[in-house]
Amino acid sequence: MIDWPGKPMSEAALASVAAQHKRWVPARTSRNRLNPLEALERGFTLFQSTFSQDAWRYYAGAAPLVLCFVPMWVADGQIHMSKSALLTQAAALAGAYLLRVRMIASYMQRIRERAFGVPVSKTAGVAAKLTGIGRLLAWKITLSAAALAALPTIAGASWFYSACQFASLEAREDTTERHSFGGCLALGGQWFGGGLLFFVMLLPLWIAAWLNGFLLAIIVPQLLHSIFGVNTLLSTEMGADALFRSSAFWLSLFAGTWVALDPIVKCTYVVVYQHLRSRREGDDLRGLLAILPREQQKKAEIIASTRAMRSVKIGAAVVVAATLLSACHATNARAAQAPLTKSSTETFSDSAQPAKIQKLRRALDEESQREIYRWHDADHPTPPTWFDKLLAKIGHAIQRAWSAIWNFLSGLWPRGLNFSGDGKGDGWRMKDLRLWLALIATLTLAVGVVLFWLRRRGAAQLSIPIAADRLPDPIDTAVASERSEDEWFALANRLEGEGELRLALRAAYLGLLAGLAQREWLTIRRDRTNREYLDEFTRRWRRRPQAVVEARTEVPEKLRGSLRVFDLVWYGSHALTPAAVAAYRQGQRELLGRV
Amino acid sequence: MTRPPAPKPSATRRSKQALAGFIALASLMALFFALLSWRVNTPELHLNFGGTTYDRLAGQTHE
Repeated sequence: MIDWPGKPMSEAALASVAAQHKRWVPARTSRNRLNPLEALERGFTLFQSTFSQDAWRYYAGAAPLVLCFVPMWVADGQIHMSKSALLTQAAALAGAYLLRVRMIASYMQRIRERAFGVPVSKTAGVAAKLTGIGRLLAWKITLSAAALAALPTIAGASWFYSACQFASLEAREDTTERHSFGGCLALGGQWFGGGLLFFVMLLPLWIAAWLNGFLLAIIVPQLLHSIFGVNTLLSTEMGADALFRSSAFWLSLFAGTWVALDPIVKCTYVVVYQHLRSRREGDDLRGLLAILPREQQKKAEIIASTRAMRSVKIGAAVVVAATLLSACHATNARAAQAPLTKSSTETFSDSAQPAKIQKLRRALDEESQREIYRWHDADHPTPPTWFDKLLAKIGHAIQRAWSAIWNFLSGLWPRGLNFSGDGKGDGWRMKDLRLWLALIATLTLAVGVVLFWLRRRGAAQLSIPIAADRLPDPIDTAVASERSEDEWFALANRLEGEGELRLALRAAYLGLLAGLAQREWLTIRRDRTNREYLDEFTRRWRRRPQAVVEARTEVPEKLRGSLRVFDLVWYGSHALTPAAVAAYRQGQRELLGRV
Repeated sequence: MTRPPAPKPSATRRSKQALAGFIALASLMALFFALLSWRVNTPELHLNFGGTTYDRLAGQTHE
């Protein structure tokens, strides 16, 4: 436990300071209690400030259990395991849990040491270590089970959960103070209201992290498919459906949410534990007294900044008051003489007090710099780590970029223009240039809108004859099943004669698809792409019985070439000649003749 | 302000605490074993894909 270095803080001196700042007492009293929001804020700050040095302990402890359990859960759902294999898995999971509990307890103790200067207790000997681990396991498992059992009551769950967190800090300490299971529950009871509010406050955070993971799992495969064309199982409708049916997905999602927020919760409970211990041992009162000089100094600075403004008003008020009181001063002078002589003697006796108070304040100021009182301070005066510096650098870069964009945009806005023509300075010219830039941008935008409108109008006019011919949707390949192979080729022939070469090529392509579908080499569906048709045809072609003795890739390669030509012409707008269309149509017929 | 050190627990107490931890870990292991056994022994609950694959298999007569 902590051995306090002796600081001269006599009771009389404390009493005098307390008397001097009597009017601040209600604020101190309210500040002496740690509310859950404040605890969470300080826990988050603690997590951030210790992330670079100590967070690995948490993740090294928490990751193995998750990384073992989820694959085991998946494998056991697919493969029939023997009892011995299941026993091995259970033993591995229990080992991972043991590692988790030990590493997280170590993480919390290190955090506490780094933040508040409380040294981690060293247990000497294997027996003592085994005892500590046994105590930690027994307390943690019991309290976790109790919290889960009491979950419907919420309040009971939060109480056991708080006690479980305190057990991580107390169960392994055995050197200076004997802790107990009941002591953890008592600590949880001391912060029962705060713990309950904190537990309720965590719910939206958990939900937000959960939703974040859920949306990522849904959106990322679709984005990969849309932007990069990466086809994964999850980018299909069937894959998404299978994902929702998978219990492993939901387990992973909950585990990810838990691991994302749990270290912050642990840091919060370190702060709360320090607060509760501080209250129990009287450190909180010493801390409150210790920070009085700093607060007074802050207040003095604030007062000094406003003093300049006030001094004028006070001076005027004093002059007016002196003028008014001068009339009655003569009559009251005799009566006031006796008390003045009495007070002069008191002033002489109190002349030594300011020096004493200053000395006391210096002592308190030194005392307040100790880490043990740090939970009182909203801002932790710890030096920034590389992570803090990185965050600060990113923040400054974003702020600079935003300021530059904003300045540029605001610069384009023509403010303060003077059309009278009398301004000849640089400012006038710059503003004039901005006006022209804004005008050019506006005109460009207007021209763009007009061109876009004209293009749409032209496209609408062009689409009229196509609609009159009652041609099907040019993008939807599912229309291939609406006509027979011969009908499509007849249509291609007619369109070729009319000079509609692109439409003729498309009709020949749809005839090819219809022919392949009639021969059951592929299934035409609205949601399929040309690539999927090719894959399906190739797969079925390779599985036919006579494929063993024949060349396997010749016909699929021809189909691939046909699809490529169609894509180049239809989507790539490549130029066509009547001879090329005729050759393409003939090629499709020959291809159908071979399958 | 120095707190006097706590009296050292006896060997019996230490062994009881270690045993309690071991029992708790064994209970957790049994819980994991029961959970995984349930998972293995009830394949019909999580291998039922319903109509998910029906749509994909429809019409594929060559497979």
